[in-house]
Amino acid sequence: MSGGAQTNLPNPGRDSGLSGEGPAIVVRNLSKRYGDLVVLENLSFELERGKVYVIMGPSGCGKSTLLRHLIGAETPDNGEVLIDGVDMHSNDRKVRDEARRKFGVLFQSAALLNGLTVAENVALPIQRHTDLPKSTIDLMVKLKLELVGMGSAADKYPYEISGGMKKRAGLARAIALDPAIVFYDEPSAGLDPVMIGVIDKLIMDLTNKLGITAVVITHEMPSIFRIADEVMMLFGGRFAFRGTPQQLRNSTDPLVRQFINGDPEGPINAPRQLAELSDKLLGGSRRGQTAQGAGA
Amino acid sequence: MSVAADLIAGFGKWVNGHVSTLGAAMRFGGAAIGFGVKGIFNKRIYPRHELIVQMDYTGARSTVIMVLLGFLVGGSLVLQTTPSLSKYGPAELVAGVVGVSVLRTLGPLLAAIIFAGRVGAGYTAELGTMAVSEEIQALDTMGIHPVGYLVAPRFMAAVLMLPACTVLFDLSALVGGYLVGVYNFGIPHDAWMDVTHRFVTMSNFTFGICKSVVFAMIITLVCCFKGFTVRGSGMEVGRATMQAIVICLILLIFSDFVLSMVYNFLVKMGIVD
Repeated sequence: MSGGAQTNLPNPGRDSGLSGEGPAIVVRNLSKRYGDLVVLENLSFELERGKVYVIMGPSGCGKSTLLRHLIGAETPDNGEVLIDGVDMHSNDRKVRDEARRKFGVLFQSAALLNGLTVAENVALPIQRHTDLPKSTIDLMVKLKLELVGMGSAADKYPYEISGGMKKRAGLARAIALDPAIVFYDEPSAGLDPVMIGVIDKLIMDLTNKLGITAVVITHEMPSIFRIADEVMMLFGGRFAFRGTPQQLRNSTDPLVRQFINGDPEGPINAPRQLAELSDKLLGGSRRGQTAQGAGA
Repeated sequence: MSVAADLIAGFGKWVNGHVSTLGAAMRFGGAAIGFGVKGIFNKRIYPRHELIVQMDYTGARSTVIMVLLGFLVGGSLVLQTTPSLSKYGPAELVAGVVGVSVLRTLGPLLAAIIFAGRVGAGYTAELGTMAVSEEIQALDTMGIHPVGYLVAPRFMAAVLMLPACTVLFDLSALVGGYLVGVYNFGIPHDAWMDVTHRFVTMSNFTFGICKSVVFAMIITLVCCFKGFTVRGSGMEVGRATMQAIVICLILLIFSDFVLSMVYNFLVKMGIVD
């Protein structure tokens, strides 16, 4: 299943932050339920270094929950997540922080601190985790911002810039400490097609030029076909599909076909949800009509 | 049978929910106090300039409202007490009533209530908005402890500045009371000062300041915790802010009562005068 010709891309000429051996991310028997709702069911998978992985699936399928478990924001009911062999859910915060140093996250809303300028946002993780002098930090911040094309907006506050610029600034902050893995939560949400293309190119460049492993949560189909080395489709708490974009395109699985084509009818229960919604909205008037009919 | 079982299960769930929230709040408070103190020696926990910014926001910018309201409270107290008091004895006794009540209870409590409305509500709204927009989550994933970075400087600023605000409020109330007593009711200056000296002790003042430190801790921890735990939309921020202020008011008045009992006990034991 895990298709794709690329395997174990080297991290060219840089300290990746990872030990350099084995998979970048290992997930074993990850399970999560909220009450009776099973969101993640015994998920196990490994992600290799230097590739772009896309996790897709219908709304509410658990993509964001999986991401929150991967970055240690939520504790699983069962199972473990290892980032370069370090347990992301260790009881010891120092161990968790060690794992956190190995990755950056681009949040859906970019999550820039509004009280700091763009440059201060990017400098924050560097200041907190290194003893570098201010002049070096300033230089690093400048480099990261230039890398994402945000050099001219360094002194602006997040509320002064557009959604696409926020995403790019968030990406600069995510790569501030040269992480070997970057998680992207819906990077194209709320952006116009051109800006989506810009963000996609950045994701690919960071992986191809710097060897960063990218884990992208999205359901933007053109983006998926453009950037993914491997696609994983989450449905019902499990991966319903895992393979290359080509395999995804050629898949005859009705679930995959419905999702790619955006069909309203199929194994994904959108029609049932629609019927339930319709019943909720129109049920009263329907019943009223029936009663009137019976009365007549 | 099943109704009874459902009721018991529901009650158990309710108790469990509240106990776990209380546990989380205690851990949050412990972390805030720990980081607040450690941050004085370790600039990586929170930047020093952030403490200055928060002290400016909580203290310096509260000056005008504390002075104004303190003055009015002192004046009102004398206006309302003097006519009744003068029926049973010398009117200048009002100086003692104002001095003791302002320094021991009214000053610290009212300054804390004003502080909760002005600063505490701001804390909940600000941190709640940050929680909703994933900023707190982002700090955590960067390996920056959000409680250390966001709450500790606010906590330290409040613990330092609320007592300062209380001193201002107390002084303004005493001045307001003096002006109304002397210029409105014609109480002689010497009589006013003499009664004040006889009634008011240093321990009245220090007790009030100690209370204000406790009040600052209550306000910061409640308001920051409510802000941190906001989930969902911006509407929840408003709800959390309202809940934070209500909880603060209840805890402030309750703790004022308990601390007053402790003070009276200490007086009775002869530990304070």
